[in-house]
Amino acid sequence: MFSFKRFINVARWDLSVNSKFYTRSAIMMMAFISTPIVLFYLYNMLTKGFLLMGNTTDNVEGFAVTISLIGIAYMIISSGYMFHNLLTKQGRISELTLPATNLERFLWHVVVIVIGVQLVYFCGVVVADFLHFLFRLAIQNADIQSLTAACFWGVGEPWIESSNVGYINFVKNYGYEITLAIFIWASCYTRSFCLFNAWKYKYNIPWTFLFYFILQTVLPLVLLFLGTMFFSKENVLDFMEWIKDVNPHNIIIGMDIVGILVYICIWLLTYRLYKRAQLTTKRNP
Amino acid sequence: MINIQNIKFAYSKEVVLDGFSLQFDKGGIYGLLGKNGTGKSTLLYLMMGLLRPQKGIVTVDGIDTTLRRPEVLSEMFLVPEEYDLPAISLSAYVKAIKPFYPRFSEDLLKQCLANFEMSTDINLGALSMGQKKKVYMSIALAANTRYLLMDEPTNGLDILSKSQFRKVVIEGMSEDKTIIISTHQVHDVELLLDHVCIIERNNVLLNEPLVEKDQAINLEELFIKTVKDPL
Repeated sequence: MFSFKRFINVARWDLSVNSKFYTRSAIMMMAFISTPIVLFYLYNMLTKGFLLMGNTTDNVEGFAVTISLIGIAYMIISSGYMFHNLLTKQGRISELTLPATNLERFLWHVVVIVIGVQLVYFCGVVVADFLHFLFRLAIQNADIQSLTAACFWGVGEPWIESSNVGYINFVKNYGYEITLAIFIWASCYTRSFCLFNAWKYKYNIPWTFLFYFILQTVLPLVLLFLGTMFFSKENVLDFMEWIKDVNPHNIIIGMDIVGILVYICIWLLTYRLYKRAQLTTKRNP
Repeated sequence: MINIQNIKFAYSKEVVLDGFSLQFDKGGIYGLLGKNGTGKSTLLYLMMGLLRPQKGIVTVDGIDTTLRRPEVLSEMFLVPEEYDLPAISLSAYVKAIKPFYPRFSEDLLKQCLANFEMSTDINLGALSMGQKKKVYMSIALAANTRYLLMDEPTNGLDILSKSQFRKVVIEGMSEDKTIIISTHQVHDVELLLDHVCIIERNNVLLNEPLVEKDQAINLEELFIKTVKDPL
């Protein structure tokens, strides 16, 4: 039976035992998010000189795009470290013998990955925004837009509202269904790194990339080969004709449903692998 | 009671245990002895639910250990041969694990550490391997679990520390506790044991209580005799 009290105890235990790991990762991430801003102003300082920097644009668009890309990389890498406790033999002993259910321990890892990582990213953007504000103050240029607003909501100046940066703009430009489909499939991609981490504790991130590389290169060829074996040219043309008549809205809804199912399957499989984790990295059938 | 029933376990293709059965009753200090590679550590991991047997079942008080149920795990503690402790203060570590063990005794922890001539005001990251072992054994005894499994507990301890270890175990022992010590260093534990199990792949060569408590038992002699001349 799930016990919320035990779940909180697991959280306390993990945060105490791994306090250094979490603190170091969060600080590194925040520093990494601020790097483009620092580099931008240092570069301008060196090339233009401090006095001329007052005319420098605030470059929020560029920062927002770069930081969003850093954020995506962060989500992927942190998903690949979901079960960092299981990397060493001692870590596996400590975690797997902790008197809590598998589900309680697993859910805590989910909370760290889904909520904790987003929180660190948000704090990182706020810190970068503050740093940006300080740089603008230093060069005495009050023309400034909020980086946080640009990264998360995409509101502010006209360029932001016409771009795809920020959740709101994406919905505005492409509609809810496509945004949802992209969000779901991007989540499936990110969470597949959790799945690979539950399968392999070491080198799981390169293995996941290798998997996607094979999926992108080999799978289309296999499908093409199978297609030519089982379907005639007429079949393909018929299919093309048929799909032309299908309402695109229905295709997107279908993609959303399949995506949700894949997403659920990824988490279920990740939990199953976690539940069956052993001291040895080899898994019994 | 820990019941190991007809288990098979293999690391990849290397079969360690096959058709192996053994039972540990409640109470007392058991010595699990055997030559290197006979599967002593594997057996402890199976008892803790850290490994899953390919055949058979291991139960603790009737519950399958592979389920890793909290009510079972809160009554068990494993002191592995090699381990690392997080680089935090002892008090922070105790605060983190204490809620999981309902009978955790800070007084017993202090007493055990005092027997090891160690302070409670320590940072676990700054300790040597031997010191970490002492701290971890003290925590294990202070957890007051009904089953305490120790894998080669005296490895890496100097002569004085080995003597301190015996004192700590005796003082931390109570009637309802079952301590299973897996070791090949029989001299270090012979004065502690109530019961001895000598195993060799798939066979329990000896599984008897040591009745001659008041006499010094030459466990090494018994071990060599049993291993060389199994019944």
